[in-house]
Amino acid sequence: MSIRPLEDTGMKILREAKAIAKTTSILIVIAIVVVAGIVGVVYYSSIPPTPTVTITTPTTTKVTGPLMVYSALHEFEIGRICGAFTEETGIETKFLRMSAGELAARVEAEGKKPIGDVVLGGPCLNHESMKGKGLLLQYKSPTATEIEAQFHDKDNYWYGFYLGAIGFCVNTDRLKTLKFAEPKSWKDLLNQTYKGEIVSSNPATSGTAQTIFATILQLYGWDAGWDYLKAFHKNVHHYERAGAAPAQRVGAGEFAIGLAFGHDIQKIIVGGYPVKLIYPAEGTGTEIGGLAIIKDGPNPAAAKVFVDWMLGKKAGQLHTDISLRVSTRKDVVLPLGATPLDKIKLMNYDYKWAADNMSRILKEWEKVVAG
Amino acid sequence: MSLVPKTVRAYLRDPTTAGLYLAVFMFMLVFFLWPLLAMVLASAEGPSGLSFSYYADFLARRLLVNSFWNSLMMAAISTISATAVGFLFAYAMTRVDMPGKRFFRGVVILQLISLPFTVGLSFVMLFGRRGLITYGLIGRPFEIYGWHGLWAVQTLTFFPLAYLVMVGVLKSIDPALEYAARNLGAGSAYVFRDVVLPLSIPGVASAALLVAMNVLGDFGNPALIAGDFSVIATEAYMQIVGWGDFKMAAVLCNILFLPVFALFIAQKYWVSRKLYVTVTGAPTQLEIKKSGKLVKWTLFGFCSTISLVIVLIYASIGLGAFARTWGVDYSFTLQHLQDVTFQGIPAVRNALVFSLCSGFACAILGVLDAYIIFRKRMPGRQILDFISTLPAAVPGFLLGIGYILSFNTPPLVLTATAYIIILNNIVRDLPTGYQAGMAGIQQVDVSIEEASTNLGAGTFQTLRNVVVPLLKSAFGAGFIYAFIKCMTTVSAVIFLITPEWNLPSPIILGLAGHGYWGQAAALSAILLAMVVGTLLVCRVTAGRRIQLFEV
Repeated sequence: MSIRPLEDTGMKILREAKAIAKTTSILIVIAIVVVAGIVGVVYYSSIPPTPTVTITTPTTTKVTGPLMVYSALHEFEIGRICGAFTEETGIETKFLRMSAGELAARVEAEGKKPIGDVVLGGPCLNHESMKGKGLLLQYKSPTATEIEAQFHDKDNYWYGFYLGAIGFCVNTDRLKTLKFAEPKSWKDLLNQTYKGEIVSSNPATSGTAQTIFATILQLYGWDAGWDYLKAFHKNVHHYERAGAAPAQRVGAGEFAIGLAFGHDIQKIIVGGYPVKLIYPAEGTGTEIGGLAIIKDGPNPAAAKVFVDWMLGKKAGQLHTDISLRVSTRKDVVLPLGATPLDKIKLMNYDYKWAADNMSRILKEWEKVVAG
Repeated sequence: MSLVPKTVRAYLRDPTTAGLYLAVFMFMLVFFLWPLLAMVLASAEGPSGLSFSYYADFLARRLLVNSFWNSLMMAAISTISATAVGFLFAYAMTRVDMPGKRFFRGVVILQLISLPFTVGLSFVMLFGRRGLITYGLIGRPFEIYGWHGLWAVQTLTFFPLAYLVMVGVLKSIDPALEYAARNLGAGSAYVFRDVVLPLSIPGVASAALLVAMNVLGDFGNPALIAGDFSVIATEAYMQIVGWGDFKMAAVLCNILFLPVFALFIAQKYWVSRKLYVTVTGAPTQLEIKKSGKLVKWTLFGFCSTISLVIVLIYASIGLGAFARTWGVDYSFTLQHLQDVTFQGIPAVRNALVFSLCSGFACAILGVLDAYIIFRKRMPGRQILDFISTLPAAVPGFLLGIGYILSFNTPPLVLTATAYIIILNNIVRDLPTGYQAGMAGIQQVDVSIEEASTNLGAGTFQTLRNVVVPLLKSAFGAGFIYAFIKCMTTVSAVIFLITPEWNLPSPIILGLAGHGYWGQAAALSAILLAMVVGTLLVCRVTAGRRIQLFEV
């Protein structure tokens, strides 16, 4: 250690006093900042949010973005649709893709402070349950009159813009190598030879899976339906989070049979995979693809413009062209590779029952999976 | 004199440090400890006061209990295999004069800087039921989905972590000890068994615990490859995204936190104290004795095999990004890149901005933190040290869920903002910044600071004029580590993203789960290019001053 200069005791005391004064002043400043911060936060959160002035005549004011889209369609379809919407209206859009079940759970979790503005796509059983929980905005779209009323919610909480039917996605190459027969009906799926070769989706996340489960339970009845699902579970390899994923997996040849909506299977066929779409002989369940505005969303004006636009002919045609989904609009032309619904044997599917019973179905389902 | 307690006097004497202590502690209290506590509160909050009904519910649901045991089982077997691979790799790199070391090191670094679920994605493409290798080349369909596939994937994903720890340990074992053993007549096998192995056991344990904590918290790989093998991470995710049941998710997180916390305590207070090598001081100049031909070429073959698999993984990502339909048609296309641009480009831009912000914040906070803990030996530093290292042990999804629970309601509402994602990243990466700062500070001789103090400079002046310039490289290292981690993280941010603040890693995971391998590979390639680009820029501008991944 170096030699320190001798110090006067008085100097020492002075220095100590100076240091302590400095310290206390700094600590006081910090304390003031912290207290002010806490008080500010508490005050800010205690004042009620200022009621936002809602413009009642959207035609006179320019609607601006961004519009937050929650969607259950495929990523690239949403991208194309949002891009076209922005191009036409000048309203900027941002989107988040989730499976329909996830989407409904998210809108519910956000509750009073929604982040999303609109719910685009997914079976309307999810829209119906969101409506039941008071999460959707009632809105009478002027474009909706161009579509048959049976495809809409009677109280105008959601509108159907496409239709779909559950089918089997069958990889013909894989079936040939395995020397399996093609499944023709729901009953055929229980054939033990298919064990480990079927892939489906998870009803906790996927609207497709929810439709499949509701279809079985309506077709067979509650008790016999669960017997069916228990046997079905033994044959299924695993359950995907996204409803269209089984079709992709079967297309790639990983599995022989996948359950999905017909349009998602047709996309695989058009993509050049050795895949065949089979609709079950007993009849099959359907979806009305829903479109709704989230209540108290950040940008209701833009959401209304979006709904009006999306239900229109141009957007309907664009959506059908890129997704092969059958539009609810009569004037939308079906592209090559898509099947109109009147060519399919449909069952009398009740989406309201599915919406009302879904949480009961999910609870029961967990027990089946746990064994 | 004795009226004021010693602790308070220590604070009063150095106000700058006291202020910094307070600031760091307040930050961690609000953005780390509070979310953890919120999770405990949420899980024990019944309709009428305190209730453990959610825990009872957990025990009654077999699927969830199974997932807990599955998680533990997977962590155990993956830890053993990843640590073994990491040890052999590290041993070969430090003790054997084999060719191709630069290449092997590059491979390990590539693994460390890429998305944690890259292996999961490419394993399906390469070794899956219709994998390019298993089906295309060998013609034997292989069942990749399930626990065994996950095991292989986790081993390859996390062995580089074990490697990093063990290279440091093996390098610091004094070769003089081995010389002494050889001079006493011991053969190579004896030297390994009786000298190297016992000395590296604490390092192995440390690496193993690190791997175990990471496997328990991993979300991406189980989501892609586990099939119907459920683990806590995926079940907690399912509880939130599928059921909207935040309480049950909190229960799952808390139950998982117990073993992770035990591992953390073991690592911090037991294993790391047993690291004999840290006290030996400067390494000797003795050259490591050449190993026998058999050992050399066996280890070379082993490292080559592992590296080959990793090279294949990245080749498949590159190839998948441009192949029309994987498994069916391998012709060239730019369609996948086009598909992901609409959503991908804003997301990548977000990721860059967030990573820059949290990288800087982490580096500054980490260096400061290390400085006040190691140089200013003030009371309370153990507490600060503890909460600065603990985030490394907290699984990402747990902190993500904790953030939604704590910042969705007043007094502090942050959900659906960019801040919540940035803050989450800062907290999760603080241990890396802190470690970089610690390493830097240990290299700077304390006497330089003493000189500054003796010349009459206060703490603040010393910090500004002496410490900060000397710690630039530590700051740089902290920044880069945090930046990379933030670019590739998925498990925490997956709960925090919104349409406006979306990030590439959750998008890639979604695409891969949807079966869009080409598009997932394309976006992964873009993200990896960004990270590698940043590393190269740092390399060019900072040269060799910033020491990265070379413990």
